[in-house]
Amino acid sequence: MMLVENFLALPTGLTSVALFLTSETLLVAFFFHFLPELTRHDIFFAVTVDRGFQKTADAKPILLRFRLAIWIHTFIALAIVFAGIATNHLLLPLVGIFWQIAGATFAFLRARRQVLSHAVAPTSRHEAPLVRRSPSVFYWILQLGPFAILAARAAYLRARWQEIPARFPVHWGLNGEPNGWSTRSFLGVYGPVLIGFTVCLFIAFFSYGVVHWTRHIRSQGPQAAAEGRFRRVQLGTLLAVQYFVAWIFGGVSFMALRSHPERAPGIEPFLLVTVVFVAVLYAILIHTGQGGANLMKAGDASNILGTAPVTGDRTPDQCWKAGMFYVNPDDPALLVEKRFGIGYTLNFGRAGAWLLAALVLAMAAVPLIVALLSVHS
Amino acid sequence: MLVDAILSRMYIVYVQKTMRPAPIIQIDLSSQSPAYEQIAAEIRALLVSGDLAPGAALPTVRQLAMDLNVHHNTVASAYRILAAEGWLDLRRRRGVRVVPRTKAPKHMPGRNANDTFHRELTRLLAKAAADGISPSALVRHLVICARQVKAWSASKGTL
Repeated sequence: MMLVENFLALPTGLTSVALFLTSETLLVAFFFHFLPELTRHDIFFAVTVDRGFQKTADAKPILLRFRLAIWIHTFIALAIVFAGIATNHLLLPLVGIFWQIAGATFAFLRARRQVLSHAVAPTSRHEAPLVRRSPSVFYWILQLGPFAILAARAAYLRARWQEIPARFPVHWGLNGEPNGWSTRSFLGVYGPVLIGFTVCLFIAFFSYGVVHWTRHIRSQGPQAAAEGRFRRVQLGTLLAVQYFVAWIFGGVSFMALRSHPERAPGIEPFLLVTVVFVAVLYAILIHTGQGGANLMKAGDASNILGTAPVTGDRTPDQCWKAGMFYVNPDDPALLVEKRFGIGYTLNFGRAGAWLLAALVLAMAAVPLIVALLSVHS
Repeated sequence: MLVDAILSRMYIVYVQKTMRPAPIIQIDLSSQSPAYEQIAAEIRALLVSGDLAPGAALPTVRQLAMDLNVHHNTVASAYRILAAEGWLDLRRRRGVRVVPRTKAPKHMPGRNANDTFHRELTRLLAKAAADGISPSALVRHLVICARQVKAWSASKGTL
């Protein structure tokens, strides 16, 4: 009761954060709930199985136990998040989020162990289309958009440079009081634009990788068509994330020009837009399924279930460490379809993958460096 | 969802109106025949049938190796075999292209090629018979192949 009373007495900003964390935790839980059915038809908990295995009596209890574990860990995580916010222990919400992810991972590993005894060898027949991959010019024109948005923001800031205060707040505590300031310097003003630019550049690079460094798993028939659509949806999603990042960091850069810089900016619209954006992304990913598994018409899917050999994702089960990390030095693909999740992951058996991973870390370091150099408490 | 459906429909119409379906090759990694020979044989069949016309751009070595899940050198060997036979141009930085080929290159004398073909065909027929394919079925396959060869020579004049 005490916790509930404390929670109801929270300032509006904290209530918004609590609602945001609740929505995100529930979205993640729903995503995990549906994930086992979003993989390719012959992959179940990161194991290659016979088509239709997911509907058998052997598979159903495994799925049920996994889902039960997901929801139990989600409710424990939510309790930790609420307790943290109500008692003003701000590390606890992070513990809650970690609890959910760790719980889901353990549930997945347990389910995978149970499915491994039903693993089958995929066909040794491989196919490939004899066509050179040429990215659409239109797509790369759209890629310029986020960079144009950030450049326009930077140009606007440059034009109104004299109106920027010599020192302005950029971070506020939960009590609404500013606790971090920046100065009218290159990094202080353009820092958010630079961060946005770096993130967008990396996503553009990854999009190039999706076009050029991934394998065509099926080359003909309805599965190939679905896979093509899936690839386009992936590229579209990455593009949407780029525009979102440009919008966010472009907006943050304008804090230097606020008329009442000391007043904490309302974060509710930002949190709401983020929740809606993530929910829409999840809905799109659930709609496509991994490799376009959900995009095939019901008739096509049932025909394939009966006739085609087990293809899987053309990666060997034994190269998947814990079902999540792919390590195969003999596979020339740098990016492969995730076994548990939607999208692509790195082949850590190749040096290029480690280079890409290092690039991700370097990119993550950019906001930290900008903040260290430009924000003062 | 609606936007995705509209864009997909537009793309399908665009593909149907402007493109022929991409030629496909298949290999069997459990086969006793080396992968590079299988790749070369599959592409050669498409070249002879005219499904890959002169001027067509083939995937890069890396891309085809990735799609087939074989080593780069395997695809590179297959491309080199076909280039030596006069089917492909492998100029660096310009990608792999199909070139016009009106006759077999000089280093492949016709008599040797005929002998090799006869030996290979006999070996293949013996293997098929040993695998349980009946003589009548073998004849049926040979007749189908003969018709295919006639169609090639009539339409493309490459033989």
